Amino acid sequence: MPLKPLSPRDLCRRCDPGRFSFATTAELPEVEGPLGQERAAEALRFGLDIRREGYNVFALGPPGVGKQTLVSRAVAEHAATEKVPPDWVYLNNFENRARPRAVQLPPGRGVPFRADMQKLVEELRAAIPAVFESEEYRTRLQVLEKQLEEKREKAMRGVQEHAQARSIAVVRTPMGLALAPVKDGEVVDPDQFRKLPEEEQSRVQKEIAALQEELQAMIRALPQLEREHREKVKEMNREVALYAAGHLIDEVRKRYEGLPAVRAHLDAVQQDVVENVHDFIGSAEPEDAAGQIRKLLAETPALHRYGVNVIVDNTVAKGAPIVQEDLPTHANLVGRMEYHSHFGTVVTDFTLLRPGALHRANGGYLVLDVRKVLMQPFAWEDLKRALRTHEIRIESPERLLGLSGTASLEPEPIPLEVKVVLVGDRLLYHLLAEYDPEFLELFKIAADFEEEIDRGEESELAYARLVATMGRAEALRPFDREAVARIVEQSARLAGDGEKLTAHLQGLADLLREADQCAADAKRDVVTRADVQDAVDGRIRRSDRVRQRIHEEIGRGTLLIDTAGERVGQVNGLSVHQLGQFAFGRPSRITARVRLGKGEVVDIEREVELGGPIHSKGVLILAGFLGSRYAEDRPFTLSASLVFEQSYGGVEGDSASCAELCALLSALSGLPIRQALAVTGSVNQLGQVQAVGGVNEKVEGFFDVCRARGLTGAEGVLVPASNVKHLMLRADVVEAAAEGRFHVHAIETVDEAVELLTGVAAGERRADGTWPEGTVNARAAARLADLAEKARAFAVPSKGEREPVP
Amino acid sequence: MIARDETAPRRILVALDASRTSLEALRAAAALAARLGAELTGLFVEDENLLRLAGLPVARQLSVHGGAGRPVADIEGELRALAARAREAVAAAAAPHRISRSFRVARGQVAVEVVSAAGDADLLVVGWAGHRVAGRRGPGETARAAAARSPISVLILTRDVHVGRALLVAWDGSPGAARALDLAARLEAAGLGTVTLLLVAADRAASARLLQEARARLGHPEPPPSRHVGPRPADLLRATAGPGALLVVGAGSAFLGGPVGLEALLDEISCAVLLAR
Repeated sequence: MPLKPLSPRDLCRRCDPGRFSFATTAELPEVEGPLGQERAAEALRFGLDIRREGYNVFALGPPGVGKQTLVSRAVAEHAATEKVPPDWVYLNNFENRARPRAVQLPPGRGVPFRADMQKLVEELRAAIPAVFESEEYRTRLQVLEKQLEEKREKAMRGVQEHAQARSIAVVRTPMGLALAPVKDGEVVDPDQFRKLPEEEQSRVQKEIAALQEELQAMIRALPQLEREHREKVKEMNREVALYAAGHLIDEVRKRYEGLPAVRAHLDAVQQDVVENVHDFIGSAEPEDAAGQIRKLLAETPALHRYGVNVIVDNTVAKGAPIVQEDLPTHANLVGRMEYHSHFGTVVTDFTLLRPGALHRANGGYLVLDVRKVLMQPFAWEDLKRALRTHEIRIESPERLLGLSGTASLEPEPIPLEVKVVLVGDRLLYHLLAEYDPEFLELFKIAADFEEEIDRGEESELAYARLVATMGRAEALRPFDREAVARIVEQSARLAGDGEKLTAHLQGLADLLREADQCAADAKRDVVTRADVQDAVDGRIRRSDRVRQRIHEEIGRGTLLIDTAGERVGQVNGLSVHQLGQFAFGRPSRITARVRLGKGEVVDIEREVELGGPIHSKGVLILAGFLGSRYAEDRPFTLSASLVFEQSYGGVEGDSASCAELCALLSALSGLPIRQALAVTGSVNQLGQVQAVGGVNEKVEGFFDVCRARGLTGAEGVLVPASNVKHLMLRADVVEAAAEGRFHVHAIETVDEAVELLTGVAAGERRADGTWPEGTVNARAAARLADLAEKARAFAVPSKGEREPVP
Repeated sequence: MIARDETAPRRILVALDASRTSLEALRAAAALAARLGAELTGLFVEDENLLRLAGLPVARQLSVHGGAGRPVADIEGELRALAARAREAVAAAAAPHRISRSFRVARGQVAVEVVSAAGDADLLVVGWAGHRVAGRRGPGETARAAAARSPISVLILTRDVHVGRALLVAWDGSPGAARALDLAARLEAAGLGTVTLLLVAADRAASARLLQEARARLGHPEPPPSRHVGPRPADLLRATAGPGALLVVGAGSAFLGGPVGLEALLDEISCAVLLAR
């Protein structure tokens, strides 16, 4: 019995506006959170609650399903109830400049500490020069210098007295000191000296040699005297500096009672000030060129070392911090070292350390788009390292690369306690889970977002509230109930399922905005069903250039598609093309030819590598079906070829396997197929027709071609029965079906399909294995039997040829 | 243009040994000459004692930075190099002031030659101590010899002196001190500082009398600024302690009690001295 076409009600599951009690969405309360994401929301809640190692969260799902919104809301709720984390500052390490110290301060204390230290330095700059310019200091210095002078003179006087007693003088020459015999205060004339007796000359020579040793010993002792003098001056300077600086530093110290790290730093500052007091005197007024040059050549202004680099300032924070880093580069995540140019080289110090997102989020939450993290060099590894080691290390990129760079710093790491929420699509989650062994250890919580939600009365109403919420957020016009119903239908269409609604909030928001614009163009205060329809149509119109061209070429006969008459071994298959967000269907001619062969079905697409593996699988299943149905007990001597005509770009998927089987059966049985029909559906080895994707687009694609040629009432599409629930067809298709001008048939088996296509009964196998006369199956079986016989005849050896071995 | 005081020094002789102190003294002397409109003469003495060293086979020379002693060689060349340096320094010091200048080289005992050359000048300027051998406090040998034997006024300059500040005149009312007061007054008139009297007297009453005498001698309506100091040279030393001072002393001042007193004063003093004759 031929199958009846589906009723219009089956072709599109309408949303009844009568179910809605509101007139417009203005009356509806707002809905909280994305719809139907209970699983993800619960995972998120759990992930944020649990304070254990590795319990970071990955929110996964397709774009536009509200991941970011839900994550932001959940994180904000958690953060608000938590305490404000501490401030962090970097300070100079007076013991090792290359390793700046990280110091923790109570929240809001970092900036005042910086101000205190700035003020301290200003005060020291005034106080220290003042004491060093005082009369008292100068007098003390003069006393010390005089003492040195006296010691020097005393030492020299001793030598001179010894010399004088021997009539020898210590004489200053331009190049040093000389020892020479003297008489009456004058150096003895050389001529007179030579006239002296030899013994006398020899005596003088010996005296001079002895005095020379004494003089040398004295000269050797002079540096020691000077060193002692310098030490005394230094000690005095320390004492004076401490007098000037001590009480100023004490004042700061008092403000940081209970903060041992700060107090230790202040001790180090005091020590450094006392040791390097000339920096303050010099900074007031550089006295000589050498001092100025030294100052210029110093890497940074000397007094910067007493500064405070506030890395984290939580002065105005309320609750735990939430940081969303939109550009998660290595530097933006873990912080960076800046450099400044100085006499042709680049230098850095602790004041040039800059915080990253991890510093700002420390003690709170860091939300990152995983795709962006993965696209930035080093960023993913840095993030994992920080989570694994629980500390943030600022490192220069050249060090990470193992290159030798300019003299750099190795700042103390800052302890890290942060909850990271990654947001990304499923593919990335699964790739990371597969290929990065650390990933699942560090991101133990997966918040998996749904793409679709179940459609029912409750969810339709919730959807209406969602429309109201989103409309209000964007200040759109209210939507009337008809408009909401149309939105629900469109949502089901976007989900590709009459029993589901899409969770793609981004797409929904776009539809609402565009419908609002249509209402504005029509000068309406409320968005109506017509506006929503206009928005849907407008979107298709803007995207369907390619579809239009293809349908035009079918209309012009360039792409050969028959929609009338009958052909043997030729059927209309249906395929879907996806261009960006727009998908459309089109018919494709599938032809089959059979001949005597070795029992194979040749997929021409596969032979030329235009067919994908799933398509090839579908074709091989056909061979299995044919062999098992018609050649259980005899050789399968068929050779068949199948092709998608005028296909140049490759075919994938098995949704045409039912159509291909129908074409094969037509070719085998010699029964022509009605070209007014098109077929979609995959088939298994038992001949059952299975569900396929894109069924709405496929039906509409064939409908459009037929309508362009004029619907006669014979046209229609055969779809798998298991796809009926997915049908959300366009209003014009449903209307044509209601008027009997177009039909959609639901098929469960290939026999049903072939009956509809040929108008001949498929026939059921009898107990003896034969088929009723005249049926499609009987004809096919007969043809195969005929081919087998011919094959056998070819296999019998002729006379004179070698006898087969018994 | 500065009005010329005929009684003020018109020829200034600077003794140079190219040491840092002597070169600084030269710069101060050039500034002084410019103020007074005087002519500047630089004198470099090739020390006969040093020249003799070269001929003495037993003489040994040592570097002040240590090292082994070695025979003295080419002293003459070294002295020539120093003389050339001194000559250049005189030209460089005179140039910015556009003053008339000359340079002479003499050979002999340094103190003798300097004192002898001073006969042609009005004021002899020497540095505190040049290439000296440490061993004695106060100014060096040349400065002492000049102070003791120069026929003209002698200015012994320390490195930190700033000519143009206070002129501390040691005033005891004696004729020697009067010459110091007159010279200081001339320098004051040339804008080279302000006269402050150090009243060398046994008591306050005597000081007051001395002050009136000084006022009368200067012909000022008001007495100049003054300080009472005790009668001994040591009292004077206390009054001149401190950086940058210039003490003006008459060579024959009664309080010095003769050349020994002057020598003792120079032993102890640490500031620049202008010894008026």
